[in-house]
Amino acid sequence: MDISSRWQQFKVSILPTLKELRFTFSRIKQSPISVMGLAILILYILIALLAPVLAPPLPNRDPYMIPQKSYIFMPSPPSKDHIFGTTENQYDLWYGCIWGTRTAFRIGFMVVVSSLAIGLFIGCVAGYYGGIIDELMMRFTDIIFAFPGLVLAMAFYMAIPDKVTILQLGEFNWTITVMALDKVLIALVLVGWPSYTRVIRGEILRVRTEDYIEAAKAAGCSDFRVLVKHVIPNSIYPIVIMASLDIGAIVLTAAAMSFLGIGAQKGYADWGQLISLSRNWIFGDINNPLAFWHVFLIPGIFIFTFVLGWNLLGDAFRDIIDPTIRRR
Amino acid sequence: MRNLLEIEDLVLKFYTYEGIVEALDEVNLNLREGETLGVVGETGCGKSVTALSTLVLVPAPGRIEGGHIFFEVGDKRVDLLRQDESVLRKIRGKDISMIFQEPRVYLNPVYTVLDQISEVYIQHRMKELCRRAIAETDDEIKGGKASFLVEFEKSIFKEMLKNPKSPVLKVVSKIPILNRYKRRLERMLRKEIVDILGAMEIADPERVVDMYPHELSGGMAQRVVIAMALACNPTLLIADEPTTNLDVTVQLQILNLIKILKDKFGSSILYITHDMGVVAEVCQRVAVMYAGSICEIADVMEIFKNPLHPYTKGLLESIPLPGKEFKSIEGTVPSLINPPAGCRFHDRCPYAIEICSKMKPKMVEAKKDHFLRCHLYAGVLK
Repeated sequence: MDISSRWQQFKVSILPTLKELRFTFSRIKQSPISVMGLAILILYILIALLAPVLAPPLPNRDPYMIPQKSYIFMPSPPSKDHIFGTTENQYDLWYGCIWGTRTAFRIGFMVVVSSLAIGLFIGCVAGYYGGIIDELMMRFTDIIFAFPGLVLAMAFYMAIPDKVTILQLGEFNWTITVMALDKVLIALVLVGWPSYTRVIRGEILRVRTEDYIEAAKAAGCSDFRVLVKHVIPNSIYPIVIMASLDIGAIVLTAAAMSFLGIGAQKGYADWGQLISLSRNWIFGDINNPLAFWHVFLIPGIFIFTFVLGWNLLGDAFRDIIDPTIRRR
Repeated sequence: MRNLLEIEDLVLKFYTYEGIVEALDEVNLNLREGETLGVVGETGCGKSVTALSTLVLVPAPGRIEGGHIFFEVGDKRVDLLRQDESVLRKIRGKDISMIFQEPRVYLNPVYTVLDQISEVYIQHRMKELCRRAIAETDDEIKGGKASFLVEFEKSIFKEMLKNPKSPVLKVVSKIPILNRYKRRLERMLRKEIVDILGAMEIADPERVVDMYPHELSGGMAQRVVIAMALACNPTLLIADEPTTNLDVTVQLQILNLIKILKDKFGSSILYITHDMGVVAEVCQRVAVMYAGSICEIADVMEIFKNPLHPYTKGLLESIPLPGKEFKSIEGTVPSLINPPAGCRFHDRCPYAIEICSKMKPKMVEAKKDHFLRCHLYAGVLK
């Protein structure tokens, strides 16, 4: 009796949430393009989650390192053992593509979330308080904007040391080794945050003068509460949408860096690196120019569909999360 | 009757690029307990700025340069202009609250009505809610079928009452199951808010609480804003043209509502408007404002029957009525960047005498409870 009444209570309490969720799905369903984007991303999420099943790693080995069959330079075509074939130096393409999905998600999310956090913080401080702080911070972002992004990211990559000593006390040494992939992430964050800062600052400047902010102040809210509860929720949508579109773009940039030889260490499961390894084999030989089609086409398709999925979902995101257009 | 609010010689200036705008020039106002005081005047004469300075929320380039605003909080008389921001925050929304001109832009578009009104409760009435929650949990414990969780909830509420910013609360509120105390609070808040919306004569408040501002009609939005303003039983309610942007029928409903609520909640009202008809409807006394200063304060009937200040006379004559030819006041409202010397009305005043352009008139009591600032009547006292 007691449990069933509890269950009833729970059902009633969860009803509005379910209703909203159902509405969200009906919203997504309205545009077939976003359904496609969503389907692609769900597929990739499944691949990333099931990576150990789809491509079982060898025991006692970093699962992100692609197994190497031999040290023969020339790629071999798809076969029974290697579904997608192998690329230069006999790295298994299937394994690389599957585990590379995890790397792609990691690069996309970590870079975007960190840049978003930094951008949000600096943008808020600059936009809400204004004055000299605003001027200093915005001119600093201008400096970063003055460099081409990819070139600056490469410079940052080179500038980040491999080992960082945080604390040194006599014998005791606390040193952090920065992985090559982490260096890429940090470099991309350092280049990526200013665009978020700019957008959020502009939005905050707009929202700050809105009348409901004045009303919130008149109701007795403190500065911090006004900023967090009233200003940010009204100004965050553009950068959330920007971020969802950026996840794809960041993966592309990271791939471009890998292609240029600045990226994860050799043999790491990363789509950019697979493309980079195919550089010598894009043109096969005179008689059969597409002899090695698999080495560049397969990782290329992975990157292409991943980025496409995020871009298609970006617009749907806006319709879903912004309550002012959500109900229209 | 004692004065709830007294504004003395308030001077406010806006430092803009074009120059210094002398928006308020020695404004004197007093609002008695339990009365509705209308402030009338043309657009840009400083009505809204006066209201905002009462909350000490003057918008950016503006600065209060002098004067006092005395306000009764409990039994204490405080000068609002000389208080800490933290003290003011406790007064804003609790003792003084405000209704705005365009209700829909004063509601935050990303929150439902429930969330908007909860904000005021969270700011000012959390303690009271906690006390009631403790009583409720007590009842459940006495009833005998309560689990240990209810006892835990009670201890949480006690902690909340003692120290709302306690670190224990911060931790507990993040742990599922243990943070179920929040649900009880939410339920109580919801009930409270549905009740207050019902008092605003909103049909079907259960449904309206979950609506977003853009789903509300103008009249409904204004009722929500009024509910927000009255949520803490303020002693002073500032209504800044609350009916200007509404249909005439809705306007009448809102005016009636304000009158009823005033009796029910016992608030005094500072009613800002440019509509003389509305003033006659809701106010007991009227202050007429012109170019940043009060020119006449008197009872409503007195103002309508026996206006003394030339500006008030002109204002009353310019109300269009059928069958009556209305006259407008000659000239235009002066720029407040370089306001006319002496009396600010002198260059439009048909009765201006020589001294008007040289000296600022003083506030004088021409009759009992009928104050005005005009040289023509300065002699009455002498």
